[in-house]
Amino acid sequence: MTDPATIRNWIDRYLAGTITEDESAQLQQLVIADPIVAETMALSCELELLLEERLCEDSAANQQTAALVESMATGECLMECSQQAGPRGAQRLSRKEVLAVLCAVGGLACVILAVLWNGMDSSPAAAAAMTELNRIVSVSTKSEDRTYQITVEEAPPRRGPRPPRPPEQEHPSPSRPSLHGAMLHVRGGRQFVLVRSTLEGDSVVTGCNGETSWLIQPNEPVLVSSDLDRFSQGVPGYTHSVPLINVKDGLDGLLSAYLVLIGAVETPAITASSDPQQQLLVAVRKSSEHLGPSRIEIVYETRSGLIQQMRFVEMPQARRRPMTLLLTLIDKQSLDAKFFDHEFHHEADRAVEFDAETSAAE
Amino acid sequence: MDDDHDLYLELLLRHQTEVKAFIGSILRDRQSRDDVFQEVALILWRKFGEFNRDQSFAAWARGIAANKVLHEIRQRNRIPALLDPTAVNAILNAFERIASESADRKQALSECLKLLPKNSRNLLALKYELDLPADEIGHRVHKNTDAVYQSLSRIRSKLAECIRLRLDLAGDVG
Repeated sequence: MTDPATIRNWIDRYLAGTITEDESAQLQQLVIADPIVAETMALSCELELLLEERLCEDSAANQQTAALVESMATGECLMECSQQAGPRGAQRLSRKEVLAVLCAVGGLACVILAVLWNGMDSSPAAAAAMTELNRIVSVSTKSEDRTYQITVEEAPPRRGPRPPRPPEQEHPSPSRPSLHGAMLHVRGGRQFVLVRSTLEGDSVVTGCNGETSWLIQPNEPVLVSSDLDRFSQGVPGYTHSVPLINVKDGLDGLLSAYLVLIGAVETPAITASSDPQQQLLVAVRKSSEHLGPSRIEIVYETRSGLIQQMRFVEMPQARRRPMTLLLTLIDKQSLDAKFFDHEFHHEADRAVEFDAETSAAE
Repeated sequence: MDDDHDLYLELLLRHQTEVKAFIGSILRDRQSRDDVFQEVALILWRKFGEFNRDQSFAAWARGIAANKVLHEIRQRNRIPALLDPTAVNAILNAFERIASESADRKQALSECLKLLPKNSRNLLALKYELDLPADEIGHRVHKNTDAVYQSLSRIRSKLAECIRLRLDLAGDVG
């Protein structure tokens, strides 16, 4: 009689594809002879698929991009969040991963850091880029409120033949909020509110006030957490959410990740660079080994350094076509002092759940 | 016809996880599984007129999926398959027995995932979201491949236990 631990191990190895022929034959006999083993096998396979669906659903285009957008426009907030979150889950990541994180989660921060630490490159172009990025960063971390509208641009067709995806993967769930048309409110590079809508017209609001992060979904309690990146979970960016506690380790990668250019660059989507009052800064990813958009285009006011538009071209997504996003500044009016608190965005009697930071596994 | 189409889509979307999980239990390669699922979805649509509305759509769909999977297994050169036809039927019967609580398990999983520590969620994301092989995951998290398998196995076991406890609890309360 085979003991349960061995059966469990065989099923695990079957799922992992590492089971030997002999073990596979024995497992098959058990599956045929013992309904409990067959059910265990079925439950294990079902759990695998549920995990795949759930995690991919969480990382679907809009949510994935939302995290990136949040980090782009509130880069310092996410850096700060990550620092407060501590080294959990990140300390084992490699230099390459640190680079990937910085590019995927904080593409703008990546570009900025690549230039700021680019001491070895003393070319005039790099020096100019560094100066401009310093200025843009300085402006973006001031306390003025800014509101950006987000536009999702159509992705280019996939190259080469590929079988059609099942309907559920072509068409997102009606209840999934879309980034297209979403509004991103930013304060001082530390606080943000992202408002998205579902097809039914319900709003899904994600925010960070610098002390807590929160999520408001239709017909659900408001979720609040002291872990400032708590509601980024399930997005690829979250996968790589490394605190910037060891930036030096990623330095070599940062230096090689993006090529930063200023001025006359061909940008069909952003035409503002022809305006003498505005300047265009483009960061081009050098290698597809690095995660993050293939290109980042930033249009900013020449005089003030205020970002007017940001375009993230061909951001990679898990098993989906890359997405291109455009953020356009639409308002600079001051928002209410409490605007970045969750209470501002729901009724007073709405149920609120605080994240208990429990750990049930591992 | 339009009503049929709408009903079919509704049923397929509602039960696709159960059907795909069954196919995936036999065909471990994701691409093969998804290819066969698409073919099964087409067969189901063509045969939808024969579907008895008083019966379970999921059971009917899994039965057709089983035939399709067995057909594929007979053409083993085309796709990888690890289980022989007798075992496929045993797995099919097992799926029938566990089907009634499938939606509850899905809901429970959502809750259980929230309880996972961050490093466990990271590992799951690398495996199931990014679909990385174990050696690549190991490279990324500085673990050897065996340690990755063990960690994933531990996490799945704890999730399975968490799901079972939640279902038991719900049963007791109900």
